Amino acid sequence: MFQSQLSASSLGDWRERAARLEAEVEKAILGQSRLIRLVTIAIFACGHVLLEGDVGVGKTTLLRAVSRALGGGYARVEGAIDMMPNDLLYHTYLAEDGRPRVEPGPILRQSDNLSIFFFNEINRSRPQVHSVLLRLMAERKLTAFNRDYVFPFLQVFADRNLIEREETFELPAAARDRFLMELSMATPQDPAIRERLLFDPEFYDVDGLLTRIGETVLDYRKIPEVALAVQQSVRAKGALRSYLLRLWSALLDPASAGIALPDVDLENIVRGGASPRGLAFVVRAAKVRAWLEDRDYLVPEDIREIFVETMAHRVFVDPVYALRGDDIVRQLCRAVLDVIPAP
Amino acid sequence: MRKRRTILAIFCLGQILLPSLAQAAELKIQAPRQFGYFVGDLIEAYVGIRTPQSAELQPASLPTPGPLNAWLTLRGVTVSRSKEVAGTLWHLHLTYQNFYLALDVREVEIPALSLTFQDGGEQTTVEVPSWRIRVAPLREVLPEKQENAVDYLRPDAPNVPVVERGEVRTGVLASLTVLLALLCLRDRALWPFQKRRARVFTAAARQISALAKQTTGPEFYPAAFRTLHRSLEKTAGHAILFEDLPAYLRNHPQFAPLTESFQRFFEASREAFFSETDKDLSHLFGKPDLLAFAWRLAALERAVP
Repeated sequence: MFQSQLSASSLGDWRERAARLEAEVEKAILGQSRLIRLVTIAIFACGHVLLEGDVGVGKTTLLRAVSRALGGGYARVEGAIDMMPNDLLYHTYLAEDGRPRVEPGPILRQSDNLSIFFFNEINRSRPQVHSVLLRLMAERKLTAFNRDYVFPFLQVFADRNLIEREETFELPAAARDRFLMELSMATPQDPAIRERLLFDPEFYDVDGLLTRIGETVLDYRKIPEVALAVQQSVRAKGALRSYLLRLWSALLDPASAGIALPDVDLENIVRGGASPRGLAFVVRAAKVRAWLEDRDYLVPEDIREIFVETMAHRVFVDPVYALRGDDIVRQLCRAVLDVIPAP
Repeated sequence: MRKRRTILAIFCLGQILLPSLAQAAELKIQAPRQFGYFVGDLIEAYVGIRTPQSAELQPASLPTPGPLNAWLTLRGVTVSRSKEVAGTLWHLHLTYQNFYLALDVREVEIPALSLTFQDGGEQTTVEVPSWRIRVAPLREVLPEKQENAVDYLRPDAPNVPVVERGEVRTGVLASLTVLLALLCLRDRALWPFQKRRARVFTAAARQISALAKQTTGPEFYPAAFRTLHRSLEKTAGHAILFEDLPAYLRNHPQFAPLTESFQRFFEASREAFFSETDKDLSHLFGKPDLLAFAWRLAALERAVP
């Protein structure tokens, strides 16, 4: 297995840089400390993120702020029903000589240094597009012009439109499972922050707002190596391992674990998705959280902090509960955390 | 049955001479009212007869309950007596039931009855005269014409219990008794008002004390810590982790004096269960300290009523 060459002291330096990244992003995004922390965890776990939130809460601003602080390329694509995979890869146009030209699209052009790729309203695009995205997320590689393009530093952020159902294609289970987390971005609750967002002119101009963020707080090219070092340096002891295994069992069979939810038959609720890969993602994210908290071992709080965001979108419930949205799975995850004791 | 508080004296027979008794016998009849009886109503009557002290009523002369005529039934007779200076007062309570199906308001007669008194070797008959009441119809003679015969019928009345005054008194007394009993239970903090809190930490402290006697090595700590963790979960109702400590202490302010000990307990527990470094836990939280912490928790738990 590849061993990271990063020493403990340089991991400490990187923790400080991660804290600076959070601080810089918080300059532009008010009242979203926990969300920014979770995005930071996703970055240092090299995981892709599904963003969910109402229109106008600042999802794009958050990603642009993160992208500016990370450095590297930023590309954004809008999902549309007539979008095809080639629209992602190629840029086709008529040249001055009247001949059609096909050139690499914005993603391929930046492949070597693309750090954040934002796919807006991913469920408006077709499954063919999802499959290309799936490969990009899983392998960080695409094939075009008869060659492979590699994206070593890419992180995909996608946003699902949950309001309109017409002309949308729900992401297949396999695609959702590739995302490390699904994060909900809500309007801040603090009245003072709300007031600032409404009346402070600096929040009217997103571009101006982003210039306040220090550029390239950390070198995005180093992140994969740092992520590997974090995974290797943070340990999980027996009691923690058994705690996570008990959480997993309770999630698969909530009724046996003594969990009760109002108006839900928990005997047959979970149909799939609480997979080994999903739980491995939980461990990955929890280790990053432990590292950010300056610990070299996992504690149950690390698991709990990221559990709902990392598990809920990859658990699939009986279709009878589908109309109740994702809330029911989140409730189930929280109930599991409440019931399963630690240590 | 209808009753009025005012007792109407139907009439009095003052001074019925009982020549054989050589003393006066006085008789009076009382009924709640003389009018407004419907079919099925009970008619209560009271007859009072004053006799010389030596006179005895012959039980055989009392009227026998049962039908008296086509429309009147005697439902019950009770006799009692009270001693007076001048003689004996006999109390006769008669309960009749009216079955007169009147088409208009009319007067009917409650028949007379005779009572025999024995005084020494002599027998004397006292006649209780007949008295009259008015009965009334339940419906008009010619009801409005209905196409459907069923429409002449009325729906069954709701089953409203008729409460006798005696029943009201009994009910009030019973309610007051129950209320008093409940107040006593509440005052004594007995079931169902305050089931005594389960003394979770007392049980935990006992378990940890037993553990301390049984084990001498480092294996004491994980078991003791787990016991305390389970107790915390029982009192909170959900899993409690280190980061939940401030909220737990906010919800259980009785334990606030032990904040520092809680902090040390969670740190030691973290070291014991999750840290990779095998620190000597006795430096973090010695056995005596842990026992003292558990018993202190138990004491604070008992202090809350």
